[in-house]
Amino acid sequence: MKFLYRMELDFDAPVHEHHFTMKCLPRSSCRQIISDLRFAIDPDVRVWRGRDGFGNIKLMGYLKQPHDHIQVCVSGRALVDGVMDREKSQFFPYGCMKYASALTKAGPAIRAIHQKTREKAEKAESGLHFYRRKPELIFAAAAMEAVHEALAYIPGSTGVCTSAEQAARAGRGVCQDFAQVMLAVLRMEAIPCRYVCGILAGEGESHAWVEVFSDGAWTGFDPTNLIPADERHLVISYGRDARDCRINQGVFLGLDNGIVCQRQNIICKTIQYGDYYDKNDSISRISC
Amino acid sequence: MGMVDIHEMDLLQRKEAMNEQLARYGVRFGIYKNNVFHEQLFPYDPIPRVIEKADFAYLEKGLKQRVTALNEFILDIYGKKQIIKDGVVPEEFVFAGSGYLAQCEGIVPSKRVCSHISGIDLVLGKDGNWYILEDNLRIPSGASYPMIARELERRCSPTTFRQYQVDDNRDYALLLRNVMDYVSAGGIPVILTPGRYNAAYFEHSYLAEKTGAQLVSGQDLFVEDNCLFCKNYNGEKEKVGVVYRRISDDYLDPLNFCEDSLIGVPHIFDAYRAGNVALMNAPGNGVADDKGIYYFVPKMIRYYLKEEPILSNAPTYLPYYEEDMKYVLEHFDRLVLKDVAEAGGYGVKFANTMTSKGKEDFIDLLKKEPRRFIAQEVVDFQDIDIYDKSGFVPRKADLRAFVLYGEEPVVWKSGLTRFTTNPDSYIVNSSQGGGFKDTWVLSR
Repeated sequence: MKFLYRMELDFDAPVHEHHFTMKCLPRSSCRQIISDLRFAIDPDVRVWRGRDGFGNIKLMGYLKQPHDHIQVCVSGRALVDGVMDREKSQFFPYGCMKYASALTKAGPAIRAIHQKTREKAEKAESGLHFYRRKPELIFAAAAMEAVHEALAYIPGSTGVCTSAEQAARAGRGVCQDFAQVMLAVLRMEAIPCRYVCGILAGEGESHAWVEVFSDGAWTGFDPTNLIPADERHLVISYGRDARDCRINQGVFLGLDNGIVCQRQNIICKTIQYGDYYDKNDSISRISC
Repeated sequence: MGMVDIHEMDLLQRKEAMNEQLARYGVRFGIYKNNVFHEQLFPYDPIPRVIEKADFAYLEKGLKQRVTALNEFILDIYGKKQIIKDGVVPEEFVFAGSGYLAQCEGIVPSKRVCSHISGIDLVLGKDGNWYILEDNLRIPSGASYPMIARELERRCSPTTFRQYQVDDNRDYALLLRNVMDYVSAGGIPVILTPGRYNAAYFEHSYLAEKTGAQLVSGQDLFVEDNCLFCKNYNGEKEKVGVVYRRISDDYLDPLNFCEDSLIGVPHIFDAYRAGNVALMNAPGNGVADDKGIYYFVPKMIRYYLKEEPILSNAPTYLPYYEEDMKYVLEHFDRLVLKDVAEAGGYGVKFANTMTSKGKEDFIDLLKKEPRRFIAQEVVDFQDIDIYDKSGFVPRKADLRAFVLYGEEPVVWKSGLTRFTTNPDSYIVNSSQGGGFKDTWVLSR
């Protein structure tokens, strides 16, 4: 697929001394090949690259002069294949992914969903040939179902810092919350699993889902849509929870006293191969 | 006391003069009580802890061995994790511990040194053996106190050091600077302080003065193109090669750790990951000095170095293991229990001081969260005399030995001896109120 990804940051008052990190470039892995990657930023500022502890690509920069708007554009082509991401690392492959992180600690609401998951998993085991008979994957499929039932998808009902427990208690959230609640449930069973931030073909915003480690590979589950992650799910970054995968993160100073609010608007556009598309839509012609 | 007869010491007559001098030089430390910052003088006692040459040689060997193994452990954890794969350390003690930082995965610090400055706390037991109480590998402080005390002792009582053959301890700054230069990625050396409201600000400024490194705070530094720069007085920028940072990991970089940090430097951690600046001590070292990991240090020494540990831990039990839990419940009353997440003398409970209700509650908690606690035998350690209004009185005291790791580990021939002013207390932490002594290593 071709993808285009545009992020706009607006501040209600001008800010300066702005240091930022963006994790918005997808990288090639066993399940996806990325090519023709382009990046543009406005205002024009020097940007340098790095990686984080999970291998995600980071773009970093420092905008000294006052500004109230930043726009970033990323585009490229991706060949996404299959469901599993084989773990290449010969090191301890899942490390900390088995343990509750700051946003995926279990409380009463998570424990209730965990209980439901157990009941579902028990029933499923008798007849399920799917998921290669791996108990952790069968449990994950049950958790995906339980989470999907427990939460209502209501945009704007939670924030970036909402924990899994808070979302589970409220019974609603967005894809980030669905993913984190599912992670919290899986980590109660000590099943290694990671948070994935990415793009779902056909959706206009960034998306989040879960990958579960089993038998040397990561298998994707999308609890928001109750489907396994497939060739429509393009991975941008992964981590313990949403905090490791923030698309944009920054520190800045306001010019006046008082609190400056920041609004973030993300637009994704994907074009599946085989779909008909207008030539004018070709990515090289989209300017930022 | 070997060759030193403390009753005859000229220094005893200089106690007041010494404390006045120390106050004049601003030797103090700060404590936050109910969110209010209090700065206190750190009371000095003129009777030094004296360590014989042969005893120190033994300590030196043991400390080098321990720090070498700890350094290997940190490299291993953020690298191949062989020690976990081989089942020597259970994974949950690493990954679920508060000291582990996933951000550090895959980083090999400059010259493979993680623990540049280690502060190892020991006590001398009544049985004549040294016991390790704690390893401090994050930002151990305290070296400046015996440094300046020695300098002032020489000034207040010049005859003392003609009379006794004591190893000079004023080389600490040189050892520290050597480490900084050895690991530097090219550029100037700086000491990064959180500012004057930090408990150890005296030390930061003193070490900067003595090492010739520049004392800076977060606003003086910035990152561009994955390199760290320092703004000087003319507004020019200079590349920084090594940062001896006295800011904890959490507050070091708001874009990699705690987001609301105002004292850190955005992207400093990324410059470090790229290898363009050395940070000392390395971020993530907390994974090796966690109270829960302490139990495993003798195993690490055997695992990485294929040697028997020279210095022993205080006898420690991990309730996480069933047989240890059994032992702890059977001998509960004589043990001391420590919460692995706490530091600075907090979260330490002596079972014999608990009420019966408190004991019951604690045992319930222990059974529910066995990983959270370690239990130790109370080490009966030797008292050291302090010189009080009433003369010589014995007090509990420990020793913080400093190991500096550059090309190879070097043990500083001195150390910080802390004592408790309260005759019934075993906790010598300076944040709990106590004083310090100079530590003399005899050169003959």
